[in-house]
Amino acid sequence: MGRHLIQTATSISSVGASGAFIAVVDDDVHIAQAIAMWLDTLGASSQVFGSGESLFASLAANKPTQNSPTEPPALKAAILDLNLPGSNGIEIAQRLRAFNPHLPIVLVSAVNVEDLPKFGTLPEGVRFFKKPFELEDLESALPLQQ
Amino acid sequence: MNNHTTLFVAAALYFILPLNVLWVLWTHKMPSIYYWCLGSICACFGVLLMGFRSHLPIFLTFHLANTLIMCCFIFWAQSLKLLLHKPWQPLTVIVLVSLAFVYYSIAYSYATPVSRGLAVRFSLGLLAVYVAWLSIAIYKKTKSHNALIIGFSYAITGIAFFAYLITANTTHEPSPFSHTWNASFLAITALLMAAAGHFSYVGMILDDTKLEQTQKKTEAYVISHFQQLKKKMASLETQHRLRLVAGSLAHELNQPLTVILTHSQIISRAIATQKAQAETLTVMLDKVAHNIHRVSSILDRIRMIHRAEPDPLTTININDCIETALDQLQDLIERHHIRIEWTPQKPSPDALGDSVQISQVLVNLCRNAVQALEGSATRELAIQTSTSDGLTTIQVRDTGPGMPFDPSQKLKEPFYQSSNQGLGMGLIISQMIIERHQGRMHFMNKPSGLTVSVDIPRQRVQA
Repeated sequence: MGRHLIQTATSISSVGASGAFIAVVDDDVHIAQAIAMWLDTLGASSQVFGSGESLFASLAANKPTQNSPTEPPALKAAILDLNLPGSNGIEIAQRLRAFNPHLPIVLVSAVNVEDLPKFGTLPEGVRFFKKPFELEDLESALPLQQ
Repeated sequence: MNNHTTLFVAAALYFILPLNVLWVLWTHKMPSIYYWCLGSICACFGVLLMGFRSHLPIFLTFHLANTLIMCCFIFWAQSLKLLLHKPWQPLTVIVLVSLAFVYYSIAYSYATPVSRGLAVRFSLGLLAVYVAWLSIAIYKKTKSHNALIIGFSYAITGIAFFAYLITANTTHEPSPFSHTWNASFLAITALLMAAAGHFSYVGMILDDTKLEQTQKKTEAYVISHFQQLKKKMASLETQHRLRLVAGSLAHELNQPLTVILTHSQIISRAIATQKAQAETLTVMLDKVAHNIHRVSSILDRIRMIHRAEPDPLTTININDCIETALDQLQDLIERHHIRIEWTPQKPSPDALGDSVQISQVLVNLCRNAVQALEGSATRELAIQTSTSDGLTTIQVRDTGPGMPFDPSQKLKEPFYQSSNQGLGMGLIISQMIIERHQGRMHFMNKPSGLTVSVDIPRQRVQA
């Protein structure tokens, strides 16, 4: 059954060649897949990453080059988990902010909001939702055209 | 008062005072006391026999009398050595007494009367100094002033013997009954030894008993307080652990609950907007079911450490435990493409344990290792076992990046969770299980990955 789930997730999280995608960074593959499936039902393309490092590696590989300067920036928004192998969600958010000050970023975690400062300072404009979260809340924080 | 009288008074004292010592210290029943009194009785009869030199056979008045006087020093020395916990063996005492008799027989047969008399006084002087030295040793140990008094009186006796040697008349056989100052000095020290020796001996034993009682009381007090403190600490530790487990349990349950909630919201929207496709709905419902199983398995793990009646610890087969754990993790291991390196040790190592719980510990450790290997180029998980006399050691080693901190320290901090799969809780539970087995967990952060060693006793450990 596990393998079946993985295949399903891969197929839905593939990036459309034309458009930007929403990055879902969560090392819990079940949660990442669930969010990706939900985005899929809303018609938004998404890509799942297990860590911030793999997200940045992917962004670096698909960076607009001088050969094709018209290519739009790949990332439309990011949904980040807090506890991750390598950089934590707040650190990833800070790096993404440096790239793009207006990028919609959502942080989700089972950690209570009062414990967040232990992990770093939340950059401005980053919304935080405690797991388990309501999809309406995520929707309100993300640029999704219905 | 001539020396005859002095020595007879001393002999009388050496008879009466040990009886007094026995009477006063009757309840103590210490071998040291019996040796002390025996020594005194020997002194009494030795001096008495010597006094009858012109009336009794020489065998009694020289051989036996001198042997008895030497015996009294041997017994006193043995008595003090017993108090110092360094006694001679009884056989040694018998040999010493026999040697004393042989010594006097040879002295009588082969030495001139003058040299014989000097040799006798020299040997007794040495013994008196030895007894004095033992008393001072007791004083140093117990700070009993009575021991010091015994030491002084025997030291003076030793000095009297040596003084006699130096000032002896070399033409006549020395006699304790001659009217010379040195013989009188010796006779008086015999009296002093009798009086000071016995009274101070009683005092010394009472000091010693008092000291022992005080020490015992202090010890009992310290032990009882230590135990109370230990109990308090154990209870605090348990409370702290439970808080940690509760914290990470909440955290860990949040993960599958998030998945369940997300999917159920998607499903409900899909149905509401009539966009539901049977195939997608089935996949999502499968996921909901899967995550409900996940919740239940987390709860099972918690129940494992707080079963009302845990299985008793019995001798278990460690190879079986490892196999059970690897079976449980087979899916996870395949999904992450991890190579397992484990050669079952033959014959299988054993340990005193609860096989279900030990398997659980191994599942937790392997699960952590699998998570650590995510993103690693080499994905290897090695399990090794080894046994020594009292312990069986299981090592779980991964080729991951290792921990960026000391995991054994982090276990004490709440909210620690290195990944979403509940590493914190797994380690805390494992730690609790291993403690129940009176074993230990060690963490070694190596450049090549993390190694966790678990030591489990093979036999019952005395608390």
